[in-house]
Amino acid sequence: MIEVINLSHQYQTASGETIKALDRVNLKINEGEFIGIAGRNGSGKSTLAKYFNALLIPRPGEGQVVVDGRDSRKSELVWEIRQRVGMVFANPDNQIVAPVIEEEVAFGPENLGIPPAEIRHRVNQALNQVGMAGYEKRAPHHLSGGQKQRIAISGALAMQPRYLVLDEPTSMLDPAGRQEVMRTLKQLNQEAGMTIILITHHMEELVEVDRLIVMSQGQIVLDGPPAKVFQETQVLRELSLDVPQVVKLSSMLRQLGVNVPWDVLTVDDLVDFLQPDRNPKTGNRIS
Amino acid sequence: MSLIIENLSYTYMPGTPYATQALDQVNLTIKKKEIVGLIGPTGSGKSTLIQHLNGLLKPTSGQIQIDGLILNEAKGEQMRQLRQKVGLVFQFPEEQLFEETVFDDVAFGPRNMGTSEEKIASRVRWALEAVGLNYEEIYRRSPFNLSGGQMRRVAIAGVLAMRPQILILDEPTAGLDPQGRDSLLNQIRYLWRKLSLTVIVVSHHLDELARLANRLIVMHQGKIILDAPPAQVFEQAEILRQIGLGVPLLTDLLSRLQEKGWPVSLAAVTEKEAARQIAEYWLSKQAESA
Repeated sequence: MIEVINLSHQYQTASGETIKALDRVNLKINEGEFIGIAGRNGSGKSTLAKYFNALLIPRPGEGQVVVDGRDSRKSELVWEIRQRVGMVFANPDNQIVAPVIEEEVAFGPENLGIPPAEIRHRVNQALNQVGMAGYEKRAPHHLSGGQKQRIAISGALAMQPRYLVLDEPTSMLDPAGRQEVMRTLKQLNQEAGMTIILITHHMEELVEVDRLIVMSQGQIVLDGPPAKVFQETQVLRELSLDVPQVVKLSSMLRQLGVNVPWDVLTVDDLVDFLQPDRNPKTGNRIS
Repeated sequence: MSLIIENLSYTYMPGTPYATQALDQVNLTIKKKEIVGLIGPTGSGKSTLIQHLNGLLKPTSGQIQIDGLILNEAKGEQMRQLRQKVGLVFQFPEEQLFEETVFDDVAFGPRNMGTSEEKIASRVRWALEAVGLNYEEIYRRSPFNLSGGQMRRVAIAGVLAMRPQILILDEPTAGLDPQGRDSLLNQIRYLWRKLSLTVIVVSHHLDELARLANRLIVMHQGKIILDAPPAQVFEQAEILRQIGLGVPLLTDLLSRLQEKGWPVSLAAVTEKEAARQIAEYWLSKQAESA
């Protein structure tokens, strides 16, 4: 479990103004969850992410972050925390350092001093998990954006973390690449039980998560299953956050007299609801 | 300022095992004051194409004409003038900000051209205002203390300060939040109208380009495969899916309903229009079964 307790983060701008990037945030992330964090630029979501793996450490009196019982303020625990919490950032080109893919994936474990046979095993496993087995000897710069980002994810996986934090991992990818990455994350969560914390602007991606956290001005303002959170249209509008297109469309359909249920979030859901064998009046299946 | 591209081909690393043909016999004419969206999956050649338009890359074969001047033959002064006419805003342009103040950053281009300080001052003000920033509030600040959206606008102002006639933006909204994205798209459309610019916007996002441009050019494997108004491009849902571009969500929904026999049109590009079409058919069935 990652526990964030009363965490604040403030800094001063050049003009002397104090900005509260995080303002007494409390949050518990359980193992196995697939969490999405949304919010406008400057809402504090990326700052929060950097606390999860001790890239940022709480200052005295500004709360604490505890990863599986390890308080990140204890400097001797920082490396253990970083090993438990893997990070992936937006631009795969800035994260990939090695000229050959297997070296790239092995980079983290090598730094930990793990024996070569074990590294070999980890690299194979990590590439398998992101669907990139067979690319061991290839050069990263010849890959598509989606493939590069999957290599960045497998590099994080080779450290065998318990939590994977991704900060806008799809923002530089084309739609096909975005789908590849989302599919990979879902699989990791469902098949390997990896805890995923996904920070994104793309509302369409957030329909995939189990729990959606919305941040504004350094605070958590909404926290729940996506179907619930997206019902808070008023709050979301005030925060200038989009709702997914299907949610928008469904609410227009409801206004026009079509009884679309609230838990319809994706095109699949909506096509499934609009079945010809459904009673158009009640929306129930005709048996 | 018309732009004529004829039989343009480009090969990366020719004569090596890594040779890749990035552009393959591209023909394209963009008229003065058009606003065009250029779209294609990663590796389709769109970035290679725009890098040709201000002379960053030289064609392997074929030619590019800007206002009657042949770009790939231009040298020295002529090349400098052509480059000045074509303003290219790269992806994440804010990463290229480097001066101590916003003013100096925007002034960098004109200063390099030897423009007088007096003229520069008025141009910087004009360019910052053109991108929707408040000059008095911002010009003395450090570009690194601005928000992401503001930094990007400063970077665009830096290109505008060169007074280009063709403005090319590569993924201008990447990494911005939905509000920042909408606001920047509106600003680009405003610039296009107000300054009578020719605008070319490169993006992965079909929905976004559909709202912005009057004409969409779809590239795949170095070739132009579709060139039409947005609504007509959306009707080719199958092609868009095949090339891995994905289709806008509404098009996806409507085409799947169409396959099931719904009388809906793929040309619906707004949620309102899609909702109207879906509700109409659904309610007519309701009337039937009542």
